[in-house]
Amino acid sequence: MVDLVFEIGGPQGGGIESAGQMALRVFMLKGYRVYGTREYHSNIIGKHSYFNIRVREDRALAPNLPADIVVSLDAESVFTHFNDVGEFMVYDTGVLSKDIDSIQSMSKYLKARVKEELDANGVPHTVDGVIKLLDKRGKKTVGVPLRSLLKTTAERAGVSLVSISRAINTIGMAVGLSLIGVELEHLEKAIELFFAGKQKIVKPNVIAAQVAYEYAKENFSSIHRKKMPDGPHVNPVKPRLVVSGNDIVAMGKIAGGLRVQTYYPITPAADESLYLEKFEDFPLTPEAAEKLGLERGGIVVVQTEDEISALNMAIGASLAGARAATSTSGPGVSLMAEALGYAGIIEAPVVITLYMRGGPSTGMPTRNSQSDLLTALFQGHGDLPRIVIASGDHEEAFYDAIKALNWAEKYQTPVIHLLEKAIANAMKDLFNPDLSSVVIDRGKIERNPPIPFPRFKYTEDGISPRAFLGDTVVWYTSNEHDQYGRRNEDPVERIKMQDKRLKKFETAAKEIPLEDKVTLYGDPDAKITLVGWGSVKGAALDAIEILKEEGINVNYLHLRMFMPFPSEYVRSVLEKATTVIGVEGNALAQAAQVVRMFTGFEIPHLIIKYTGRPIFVQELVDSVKHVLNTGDKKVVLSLGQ
Amino acid sequence: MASEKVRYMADTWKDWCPGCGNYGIITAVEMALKELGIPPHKAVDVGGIGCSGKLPEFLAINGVHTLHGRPIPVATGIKLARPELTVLISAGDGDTLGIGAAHFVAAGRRNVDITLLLHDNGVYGLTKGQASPTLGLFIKTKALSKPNINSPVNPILLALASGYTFIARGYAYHVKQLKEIIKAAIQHKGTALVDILQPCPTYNNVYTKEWYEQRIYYLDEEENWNPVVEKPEELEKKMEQTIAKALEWEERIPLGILFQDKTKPEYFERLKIRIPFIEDIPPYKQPIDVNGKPIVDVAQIFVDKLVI
Amino acid sequence: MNTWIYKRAIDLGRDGAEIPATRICNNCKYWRPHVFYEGIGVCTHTWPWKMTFENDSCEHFEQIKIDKPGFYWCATCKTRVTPEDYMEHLKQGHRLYPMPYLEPEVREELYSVE
Ligand SMILES: Cc1ncc(C[n+]2csc(CCOP(=O)(O)OP(=O)(O)O)c2C)c(N)n1
Ligand code: SF4
Ligand SMILES: [Zn+2]
Ligand SMILES: [Zn+2]
Repeated sequence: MVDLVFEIGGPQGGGIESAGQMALRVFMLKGYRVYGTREYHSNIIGKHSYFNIRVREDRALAPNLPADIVVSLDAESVFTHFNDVGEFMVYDTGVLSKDIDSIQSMSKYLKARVKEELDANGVPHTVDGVIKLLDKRGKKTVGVPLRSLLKTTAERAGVSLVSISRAINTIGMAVGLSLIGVELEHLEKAIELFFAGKQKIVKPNVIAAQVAYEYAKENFSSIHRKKMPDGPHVNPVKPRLVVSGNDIVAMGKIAGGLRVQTYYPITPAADESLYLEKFEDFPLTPEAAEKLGLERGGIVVVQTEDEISALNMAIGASLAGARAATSTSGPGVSLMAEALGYAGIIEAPVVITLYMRGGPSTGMPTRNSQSDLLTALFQGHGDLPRIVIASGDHEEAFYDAIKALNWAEKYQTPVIHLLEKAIANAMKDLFNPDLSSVVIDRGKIERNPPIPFPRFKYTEDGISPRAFLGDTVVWYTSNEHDQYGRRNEDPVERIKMQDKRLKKFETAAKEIPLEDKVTLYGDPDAKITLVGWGSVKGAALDAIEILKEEGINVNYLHLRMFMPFPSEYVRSVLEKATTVIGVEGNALAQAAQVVRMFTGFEIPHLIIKYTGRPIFVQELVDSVKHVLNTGDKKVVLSLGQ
Repeated sequence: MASEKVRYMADTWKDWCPGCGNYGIITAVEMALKELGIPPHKAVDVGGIGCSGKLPEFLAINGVHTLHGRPIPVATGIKLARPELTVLISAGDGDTLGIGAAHFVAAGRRNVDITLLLHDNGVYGLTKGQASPTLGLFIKTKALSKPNINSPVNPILLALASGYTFIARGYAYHVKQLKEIIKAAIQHKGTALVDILQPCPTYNNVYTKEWYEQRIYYLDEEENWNPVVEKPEELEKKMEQTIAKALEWEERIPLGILFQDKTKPEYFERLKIRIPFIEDIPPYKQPIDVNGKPIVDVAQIFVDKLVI
Repeated sequence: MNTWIYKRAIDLGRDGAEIPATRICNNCKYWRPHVFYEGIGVCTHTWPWKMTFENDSCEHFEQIKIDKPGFYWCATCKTRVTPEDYMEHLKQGHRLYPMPYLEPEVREELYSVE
């Protein structure tokens, strides 16, 4: 079975993004599932960045190391990733003499660690030294004369080649692809796809790819892998897309009927809004267009002055009848705290898509984390329930984005949809989402409301029919209020109104199906249970498979809805296991604390990661075995640059 | 809607202090809506937090009482979703120029068709009379134990600098004149500011009824006063005269329309460049399903992501 | 002043390689070294600009002169140097240019990062 990792690194802005995007398409055309993790610094141009691309037949949902092949387009990449190399290291022979100390963009801490390792192995602090070390370790080091291949490319292209970075990346990537036995034609097609319509860029890059393939064929035939077999999805029946987590949430929101999106730019959330902006005027399906007599839909996307405005504006739009959402990350959601409570008390349907990044404070803006769970659950003062859902992968994110919009309107509440940088920025292949099972449910809406309207009428299920501003006279206030939305502090009514608001969440807890809240993967009778959420899913699914092959039967309990929390089910699963290990991407083990709060079950073992990097499959496998062998209570993961 | 019996004032008890300028303001609002014939269910008053923010509670039109400082974004959201509504904001000087100043500035930049009634009383009424952003430097009201050591912000100048296309000033007790100004503000297509000088007899014993009435005068009584920018090339001159008027304070205080720019496109005009049909089929009006089913196909929209 | 220092830098060559202080792009006032990738640059003499390598040469060659304090790009350190410290780099044999070459489409490769 093919399970391959292709890693390519270079300076931020130096073409790595294009290279990674093309490589993803290559492997898709080759018939595989792909998962591309991007890592980069909080820097515009010049620091190190890389793409880790996982390629599998059935499921690619998490990064892994070691990489079958590491393509290093500059010296810093060689120094940064030589320990990632599984089989091949492709490097530029032009930088062999480069000394690690001459690289100013590189972190001094990483430099120190690398030098220590090079010293221990008796090799100099140069690229050459690293290559020697890799040779000693039996890795296949593949030196590429980038400049001379570039020259040939320019000569053959016959145009003034000024997209130098991209050509270099194409050459490096092409050498890498040829080494693992991928046909050139797939790369040519991928270049055309990625640079669609930009003929000026396509041609030199195709030539660069050809030049690189020729060179690899002539020089590396002895170490070449044999032809990579085609994957199962060479000619997929359904259209296939390649999307980031940000893209897929945007798609979900459009499918889910979003009509107003507000945002203040922030990493790693902004790309979602930018993508929505790009498609703010979109076509309806021919069938819908015919039924509705309307060809297009439109989303008003507003870049606001801050996140406070963003949430308040979305609330305003929702009161007037539009499905509304905002999208942000930690610093932004902190500013939204007060408006969150406002949406809660006036029962305004609104979705907050919260992309977690490394905190606290500005923290590590471009790095992953799962450290905003407690914020999502408890931010804002007062008795303030809300719906909190966390997606574990791109596909979940798509459907969750739609469900979040439904739940917001159905239960007239803010819904916080949690995602992570690891998903937001990861590129994933996806079959065109099936919308046949998707339902748009706007909840109780009074279309012929009396004037004035008892917006907060007491009901059995706590949900009062809603009427939009403009259809009648409706009153809202951030103060406690009576059934007509008029300020009221009567103690007896206060109990009723507060209870009504809480009742909605009991209703939601009953109505929302268990499969939207939690999933148990693997053998339900396994005695060892991993508990995780969000992007842990990808690594955990692979890990339980690998462990099974090694004779260790483990299942994975994937938590999706944190409020309302599926307490009984979770407790029953955890109590059945003999060993329970919590796996998550934060330092406080926040989900473990939430599990204890809602179920009384204390998860005895924790595997946590808060380096800002995603959890790699192999480190999870190793750490689970470590916990099983030692009984350690806590393992802190640290793999990945 | 039965037109004769239309009520704009609610039967809730107004709990402002006796003598509060807000009584004048709410009456002017009521009269303006009535005279413009805007039915209560097509009008929304969005309040901040403060004595001023209570207006929606006392009116019988749609009322959205929000958070301290946040009525502008909420009102903007309402208007963007459903532009047919007449959207008013009742907010204090603390709401708009203190905690919500970022929104005050941003509103000018967007020029959404909303009307901001700034209840300018120089104090934080609802929290016991602390200095607001419009209280003058070294002024000591009785409510303050020491003189104010912050300089005031000039709402007219800030609005002008922020791009407001309608800037006026009214006086809370001159209900008839104030009503006319509010009507003009509502009828203006774009963001309109009405800075309403509002005596707060409880906490502001400096900017009193008497103090104001010795100083105020109406610009439209002046010969040749024309605040309207009809053509872009008039902008600079009109701004200059507005600045001069905005700077008058200690001796004389001008009331009326200080500035109106008819050349700048309202927000929906700008949105239409992006989404041509958005004013005709605004967000609230757009269908999002057919019998509960989505009306889009992902692969049909996001062709840039297809790999085939 | 100090073009001689610069010449000496050229004489030293890059990374110990022997590059004579001759009429090569590396030494030409029209040349911009690529901001990231070693030994590659762009000749800006005629539009459209053209990719060349540091030891290429052509008839338009004109000696680069770093003889006034200014903000230069140090291709050795890959950093911008100030009027105060540019001499220091020259003395150490670093190669200075008025500007590096950065692709106009670089924005398509960048991320939102804060
Ligand atoms: C509360 C919050 N929202 C958003 C961000 C994300 N953010 C970081 S920098 C930035 C904008 C930077 O623009 P500017 O202040 O003009 O600085 P410039 O980079 O242009 O110098 C934003 C929106 C943040 N850090 N905190
Ligand atoms: S302001 Fe920021 S993005 Fe712009 S050139 Fe400077 S570093 Fe780069
Ligand atoms: Zn030349
Ligand atoms: Zn230098």
